[in-house]
Amino acid sequence: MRIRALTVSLALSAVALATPARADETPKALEPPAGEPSRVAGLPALTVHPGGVILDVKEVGAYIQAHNLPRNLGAAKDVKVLSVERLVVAEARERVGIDTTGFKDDEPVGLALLGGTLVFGGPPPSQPVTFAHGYAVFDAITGNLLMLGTLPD
Amino acid sequence: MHTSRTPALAFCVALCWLALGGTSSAQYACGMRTAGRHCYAVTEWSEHPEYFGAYSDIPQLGLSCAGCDGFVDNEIWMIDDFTPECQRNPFRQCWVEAGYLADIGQNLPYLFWADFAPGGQFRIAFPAYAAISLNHFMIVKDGRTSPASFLVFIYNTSHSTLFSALSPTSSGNPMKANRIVMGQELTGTMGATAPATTFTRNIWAVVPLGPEYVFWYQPQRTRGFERQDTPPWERWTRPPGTPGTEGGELTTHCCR
Repeated sequence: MRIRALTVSLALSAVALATPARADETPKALEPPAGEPSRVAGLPALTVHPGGVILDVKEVGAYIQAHNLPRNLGAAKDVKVLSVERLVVAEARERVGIDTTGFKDDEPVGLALLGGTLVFGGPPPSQPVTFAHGYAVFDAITGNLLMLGTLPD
Repeated sequence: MHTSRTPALAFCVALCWLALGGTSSAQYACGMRTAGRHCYAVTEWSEHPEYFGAYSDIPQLGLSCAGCDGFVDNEIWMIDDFTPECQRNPFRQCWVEAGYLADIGQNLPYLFWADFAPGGQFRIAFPAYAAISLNHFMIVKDGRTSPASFLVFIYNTSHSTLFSALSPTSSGNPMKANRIVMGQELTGTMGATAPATTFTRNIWAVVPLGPEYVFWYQPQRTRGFERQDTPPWERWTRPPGTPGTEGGELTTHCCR
């Protein structure tokens, strides 16, 4: 307890010295959440069939044609599904750098590699940018879309 | 006399309605094909050399994209315009963002975070649907790692929902955010609706997150640089510096 109080006191002193603030602007403290994060649920996407989620080009393509991809400003018809693989989280992280909080490394996901035209916007005042390659990651059990992104040419 | 004027008046009203768009849903020019741009109702701060974190409380009150052809969201961004790896990427900037969004494929609003870190690529993740509740959005530079990564937290007051994510740099140079932007983004041409939503506790971190695990902050003290493309709309309902607030209260709404 004493160590934490000392750490906070030292940190506050360092912050006060490092910050070009007036005397009445002493930084205040807000503790970030420290609990166990919730498992990422994702968004409903692929159909769960009686035998489970089918991870193939046809299924992922049908989902994209029906719903487009979140935040994609291009047309759904311009997105091509090049391949779909069933991997474990650790492999998908290694391949495309996914962040799936709450998932264990050996849990199954579907990695879809995308081609065609993907268009995403950035913060203002940037203009939308067109990408030729991207990916989407699905939960292999629920079929939910967990994450997507672009890939270098 | 009155009875003969009524049909003529109704005809004129109908003509005006058709001239203004001829539909009962809001129309706007924020689409790739119509305008080649997004529309924003935001405020932006770039008064300090570096912002080490951004935080805002943003309630989700019923954002909707029923019948829309784009998306609408409420969110915060931390942006790096100057790190060389960022100037070389297709957007000419790096960023981390967090908020909630309703779009053409998912009418119910959902929580999201996205980034384009130095040396990285664009990524967007979808933790879960966004319930009608007050959500806390925190983005903070983690000084405990080298090169410093960014942490994203999305949570409610009771912590019954708590999502976290990591935005690492892959170039070796950490992101150095020189801007904070917060507010609403709109794309498409019709159908989105967003009730008046007030961003409160608008604060920024003055140092990176350290071993004591504290977000040391100052409230925003200026209105920042405001932009509204009408739609969407924004206004300071209680400007920064108003007693009883931390960083003022900014309200956004869309789309009529």
